[in-house]
Amino acid sequence: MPDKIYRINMTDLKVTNEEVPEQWKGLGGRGLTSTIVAQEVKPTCHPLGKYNKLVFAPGLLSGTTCANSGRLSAGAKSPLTGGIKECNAGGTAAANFARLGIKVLIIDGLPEKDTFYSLKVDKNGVTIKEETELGGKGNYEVVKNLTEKLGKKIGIISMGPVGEMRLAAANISVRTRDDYIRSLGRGGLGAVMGSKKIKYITIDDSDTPGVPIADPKKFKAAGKIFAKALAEHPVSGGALKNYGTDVLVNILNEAGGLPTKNFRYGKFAGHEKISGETMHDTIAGRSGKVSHGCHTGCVIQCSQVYNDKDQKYMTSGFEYETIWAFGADCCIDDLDVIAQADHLMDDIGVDSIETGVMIGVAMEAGIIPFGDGQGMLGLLKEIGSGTPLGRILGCGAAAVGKAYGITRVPVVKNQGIPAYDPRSVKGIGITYATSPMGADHTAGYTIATNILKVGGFVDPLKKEGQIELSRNLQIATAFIDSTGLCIFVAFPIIDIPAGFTAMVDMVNARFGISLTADDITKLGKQILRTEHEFNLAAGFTNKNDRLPEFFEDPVLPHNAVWDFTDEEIDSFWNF
Amino acid sequence: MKVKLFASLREGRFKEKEWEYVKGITVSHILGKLNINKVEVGALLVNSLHVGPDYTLQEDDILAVFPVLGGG
Ligand code: SF4
Repeated sequence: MPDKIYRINMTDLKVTNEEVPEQWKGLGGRGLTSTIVAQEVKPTCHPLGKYNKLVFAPGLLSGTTCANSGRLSAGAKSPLTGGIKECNAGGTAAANFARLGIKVLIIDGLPEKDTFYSLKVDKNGVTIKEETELGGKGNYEVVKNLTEKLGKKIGIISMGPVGEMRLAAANISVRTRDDYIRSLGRGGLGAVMGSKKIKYITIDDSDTPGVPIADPKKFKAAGKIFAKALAEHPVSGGALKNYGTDVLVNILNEAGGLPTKNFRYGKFAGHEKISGETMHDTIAGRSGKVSHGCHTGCVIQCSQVYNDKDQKYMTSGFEYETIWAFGADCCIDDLDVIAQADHLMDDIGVDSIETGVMIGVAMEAGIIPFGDGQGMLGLLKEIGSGTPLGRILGCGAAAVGKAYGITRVPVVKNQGIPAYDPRSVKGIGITYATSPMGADHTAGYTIATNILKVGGFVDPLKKEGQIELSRNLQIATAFIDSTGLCIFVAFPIIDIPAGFTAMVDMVNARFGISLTADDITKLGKQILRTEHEFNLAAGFTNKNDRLPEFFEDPVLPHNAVWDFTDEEIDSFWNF
Repeated sequence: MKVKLFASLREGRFKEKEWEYVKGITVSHILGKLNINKVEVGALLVNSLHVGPDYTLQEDDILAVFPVLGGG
């Protein structure tokens, strides 16, 4: 059965399906969502208006036996940045869609009636229903309610109350097989879902034949080599499993690149208390799970299950960027308080990076003092209940900076800058400045080369080589984001050439095509250019590819400053 | 002189330790004393700057040794 496209029109509440056009056949994940948004969404439209579309696409390898292939992409015009947006997350939904032969789900239009809806996706297609019970409820309750009704195998995509309020930091949740939550986090796509009034989507992939593979023998052989590369590499085979991504706290602190007190300093005195090492021991001592996969087939298992003092579940998928934001950036050196924040944010449905950076700005503004953990939790609750202050906070760091007249606002294209100081880790500054997504570390993760010395070394404090590094990584990442593979496969495939070849072989064997390494680079470039052109058509210029001016001020310990010229930054696009 | 270890390198060793300074001592020498295999090592930082294993240490240096790490 060939893959299908489903179109859900929320204006007249109708569903249609069609064959995949030739030009979209070789695309998946980000490549597909960005192509569709660029082709079908009016660049100047209001992100919450009738012309925006919310697009969900599994990756090219999703639903197969390939390790770590379960990432789901979502795309739209972003209410936070005003540009194109793709984000991806784990959970079961990508595999569920792929098994149902759904290449992409395109949601457009706006309903007239003031009510919520749900989408039911199964082997018979997609059904739109009015939803009268779960409006206003948090994501955890939505997941609990739906799994009780529909069973433990159901895939769920949902939005929390912040999405319902259409605030620009709202995210979209994806259920994991064990009822935890993963987030399509950045750029406010939850607000787009809120504008379309879709409270949740359930995906039932029972009685489906599974994903067809054009050349099963070749696929299996390549899959083995790929899994072996993941298991053998010290990052994917060990470090991420044991310490999670939070292992980065101590090394960024040591290198002076851990933004502290709203990007004032490069080191945080409380770093050890929020480090991956401390998190590991805390989890182990409270019968949590030190390692956990966000979807079936994840062998790297960077996630974990973090329990409270009474060994009761608090959160999962507790990431470095979240811990950095609430920890170093807000000066809260208490993992339990940050874990409470993480749980609350998953439940109300806000991006934990945007919200953490925003709280740093709120502290700068004097709404609460730096280090005030309980005050921070209080502000998160205000967002969830939609008080007037809560609504401003729920629109992200830039909105709060504006509302309080603050200049130290770490954003690019209105999106909060994550976890790595661009003055002392210069490659990531180029990624923040140029990524069509706004400040996004995953778009071109130069930390690997600048700090971790994986895939070579480019001195983080010098300008030399950073533009090329960021460009190459952004191109490669655009492709990986299209496969459904978790970006952490990049660590082994940078170092182990056979792993890279196996990845390409699997895509070829899945579809009976013959992409080469060159084709992959071409595809990566094409995706980036497509996204860039959408942004230009939406009204962006090269002047939007700039960091805030406070990064001209030196940051300790290196007294590093952001010193790229405009011409240097603009040369990023020479490819 | 101070030596700091991180993540898996702490197992069976230590977190942080004063180290007796000997003129001409290199990072490599310390790794050898600590039984740390070079392939385990990711980044080496002295006073917050990346160095190589041949780096010669000074009396007040702080050496930080990290295993191969990832994240993001
Ligand atoms: S490594 Fe982490 S982010 Fe990647 S698929 Fe596994 S749990 Fe998810």
